[in-house]
Amino acid sequence: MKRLVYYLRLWNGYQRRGLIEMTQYPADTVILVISLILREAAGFIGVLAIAYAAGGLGGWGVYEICLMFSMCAFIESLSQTFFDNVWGISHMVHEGRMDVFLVRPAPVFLQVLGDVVHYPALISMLIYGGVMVYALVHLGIGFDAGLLLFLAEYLVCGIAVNTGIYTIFNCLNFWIVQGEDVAVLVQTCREFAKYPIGAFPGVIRTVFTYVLPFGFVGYYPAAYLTGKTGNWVLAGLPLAAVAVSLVAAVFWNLGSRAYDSTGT
Amino acid sequence: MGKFYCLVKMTFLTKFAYVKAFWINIAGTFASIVIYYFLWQFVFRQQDSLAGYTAAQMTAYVILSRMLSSQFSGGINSELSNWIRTGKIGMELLRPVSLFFTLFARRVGEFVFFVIFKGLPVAAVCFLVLGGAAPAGVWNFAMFLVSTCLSIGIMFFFEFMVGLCSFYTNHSYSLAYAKSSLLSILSGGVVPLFLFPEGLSRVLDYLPFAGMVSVPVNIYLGKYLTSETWRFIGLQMVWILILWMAAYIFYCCAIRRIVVQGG
Repeated sequence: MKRLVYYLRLWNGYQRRGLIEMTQYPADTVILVISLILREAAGFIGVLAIAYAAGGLGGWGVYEICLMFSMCAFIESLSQTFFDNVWGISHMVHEGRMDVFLVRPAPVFLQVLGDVVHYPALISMLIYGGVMVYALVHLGIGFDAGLLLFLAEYLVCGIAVNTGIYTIFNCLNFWIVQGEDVAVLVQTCREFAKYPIGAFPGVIRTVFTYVLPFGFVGYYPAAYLTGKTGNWVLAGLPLAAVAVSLVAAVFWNLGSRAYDSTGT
Repeated sequence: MGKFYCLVKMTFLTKFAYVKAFWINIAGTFASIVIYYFLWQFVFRQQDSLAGYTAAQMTAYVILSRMLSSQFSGGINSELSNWIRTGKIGMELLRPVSLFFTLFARRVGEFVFFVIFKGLPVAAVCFLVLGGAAPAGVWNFAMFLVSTCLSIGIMFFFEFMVGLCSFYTNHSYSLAYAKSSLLSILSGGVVPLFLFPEGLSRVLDYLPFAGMVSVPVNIYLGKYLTSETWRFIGLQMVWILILWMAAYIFYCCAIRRIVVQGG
C-alpha cells in the first residue's frame, strides 16, 4: 500500500513537470496540437469523402465511420499524452541513458513513461471526443449507464492494446539495432485498423484480430456500439488487453535484463 | 552546373547509405496504396464510374497520388531546421554558394533517389498487381513527367519556408508532421479534389498545392484538354515564381534573427 502511494506521488510529480513544460513554450504547444489534429484528420477526410461518394462502405455509414475514427484517434491521443515515451526506448538504449533509470529506486517502466508527458495531446483528445459524442447522438445511441460502462472498459482495454503493441515492438531495441524501424513498420500497419476492417481481405482481417489486435482499438468496439457484431466484444476486449499486456510485460522484463550500457 | 551536379550526387549517395530505413518508407507507401485501393474497390462494386473515373483510372489515381504525396513526409525542411537548431547554418552561410542553391540541389538529389528507388519499382508492382489504367497517351505521359518535375519547385519552396520557421520555434518535428498532412489533404493526395464541395474544389484546383499531385495525375489520366493542360502547367510555373519570392522575403527577414553560439 505504501509502495502504491509512493508510485502515485511519483506519477503526480512527473505530470506536474509535463504541465510546466507545456506552459513554458506556448507557441510550441499550439503547433504540437495543430499537428496532432492534422495527423489524424488526413485519413479521416479521406475515408469520409469516399464514404460520401459511395453512400457508405460495406454497411458502414458516414456517422459510423465518424464514430470509429474518433474512437481510434481518442485512444491514440491518450497514448500520446501519457505513454509516448515507449518510442524513446531506442534512444535510451543506444545512448545508454537507461542507466540513470536503473539505479533509481522506482520501477523503470514508470520512470520511462514519466520522462515524457505531452499534455497538448489532451486537446486533440477533447476534439475527437467531441466528434465521438456527435456521432453517437446522430446514430441515436442513448447515453445510459451501459454505454458509459462499455466506454470505460473500452478506454482501459484500448489503451492497453495500443500501448502494449507499441511497447512490445519498441522493446526489440534491447536486442537489435534497427528495432525502431520495426516499430515504425508496425505503426504503419496500424493505419489499416483505422478503416472498416471488413473492407479488406480475410488475411488482413485475421492479422488485426489475432496477431496484432489493433482491431480492438476502434473497429470492433464501434461495430459493437452500432450493433454490427455481438456481445463477444465485451469479453474480447479485456482478453486482447490482458494478452497484449502480458506479452509486453514479458518483453520488457527480458529486454531490460538484456540491456547493456553503452558506458557513458 | 558542376557544383549542382556534385551536390545532387552527394545527396543521392547519402540517401543510398541509409537504404535500410528506406525500406520502411516504401512499406508505408505500399500500405497506404493498398488501403485506399480496397476502399475504392468498395465504391466501384456498386457503380461503374464516379465523376468520369472508371475503377482502373481510380486505381491509377490512388497509386500515383499516394506515391507523389509520400514525398511530403521527407523534404529539406527537417535538414534546414536541424541546421538552424544546431547552428550549422552559420557554416552553410559562409559557403561560396547560396543557401537556396545548396538546398535545392539536395532536394533534386532526393527526388532522383525517390524516382529510382521508390517511384519506378512501387509503381511497376502496383500497376501490375492492382491493375491501374495506362496513361491516356504518349503526350499525356510526357506532360505528366514535365508537371511532376515542376512540382519539385513548388515543394521545395514550401519546405524551405517550413524549415525557416525553426528560427521561431523548436518544434520542427510537429511542423514537419503538420506540413505533410496538410499538403496531402490540399493537393489531392488523399482523395481526388473533385470529392470536396464544389466551390472548395475549384479553389483548390488553382492553389499551388494541386500542382504537386492533382495536376500531374489528372494530366496522366487525360482528364484535361490540351489547352487546359498548358494552362495548368503555366499556373505551376507562376506559383513557383510567387513562392520563390515569398521564400526569399521570408528568408531575408528570418536570417536577421540568427544566433549561433560558438562553433
